[in-house]
Amino acid sequence: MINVLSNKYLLFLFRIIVGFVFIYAGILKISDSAGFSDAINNYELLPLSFVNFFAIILPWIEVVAGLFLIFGISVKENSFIISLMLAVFILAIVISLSRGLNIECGCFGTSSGTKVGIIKLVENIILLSLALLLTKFNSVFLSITSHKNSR
Amino acid sequence: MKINFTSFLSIIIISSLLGLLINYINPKGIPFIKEERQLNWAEDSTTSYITNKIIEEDNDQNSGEVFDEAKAITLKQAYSLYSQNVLFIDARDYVEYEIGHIKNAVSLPYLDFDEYKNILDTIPKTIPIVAYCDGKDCDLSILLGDKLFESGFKEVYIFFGGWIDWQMANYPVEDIDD
Repeated sequence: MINVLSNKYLLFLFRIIVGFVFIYAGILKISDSAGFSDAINNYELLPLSFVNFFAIILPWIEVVAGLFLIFGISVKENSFIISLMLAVFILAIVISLSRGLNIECGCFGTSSGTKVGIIKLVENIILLSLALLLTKFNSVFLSITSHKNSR
Repeated sequence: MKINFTSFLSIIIISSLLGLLINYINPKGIPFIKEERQLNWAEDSTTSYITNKIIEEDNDQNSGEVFDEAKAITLKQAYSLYSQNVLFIDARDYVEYEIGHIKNAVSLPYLDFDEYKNILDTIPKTIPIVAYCDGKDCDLSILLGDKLFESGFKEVYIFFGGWIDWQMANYPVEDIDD
């Protein structure tokens, strides 16, 4: 099983999937910072004074980490950053579900109108598994820095 | 796993700085500290003479108080408006609306606004409307109220107590059995 999961083509595929999802999600949030800030606020987890700070920086971390993953730059570090973000998202979704909050997810900006729910939770858990595999096994296949790294 | 902590931190710091910088120079950027949406509560006099205002507005478009934003109302004011046949709009999911809603309210789920917004075409912009959702823990009524005001409705009220307060007060409802 470990051999299958550490297959370089499979890990490359994971890199592309996670990378694109994060770039896409990040760009949608950047294009509507105000909406994303409201979405964070609706989770009622952060003090109001921190909401905008996270609404400003989080999408950029998503986009940069996503781009670096696709290009194979510091894959371990970037997939670890993505894993941490996903862990926080999962926690936020679980807390909101347990509190019975009927709110917009904000996962892919606010225009999609997807709500927090079990499906979102599953999506995030799948992405987290992929990101953790990349953190564990690394992936240098077709990486723009691979000429420096040994395989 | 062996994570290079320096790279890890650098990526986070550089992307955060990039975000802050771009937000700063972007004309559509948001303030660093979020401002709370302050609810502006309607005066009792605003809601109790509404029928007269409707009649006046039929004759003269410029009469009555001019709203600069959607105004919040109490349960008492909401009931007063309801008794004067003011239109109530339910901002919750359609399923929740189906299960039970304020009698004669119209459903316009905020989260599917674009899908349902056609119903607004049939409502004159000058009549008063009341947006509500579940209750104090839900902000869909505020979001919908703001959106309705932006869409050109002149007199929008936000019934912040919502469905929960309305039911507790035993005011007229329609539910799935009706």
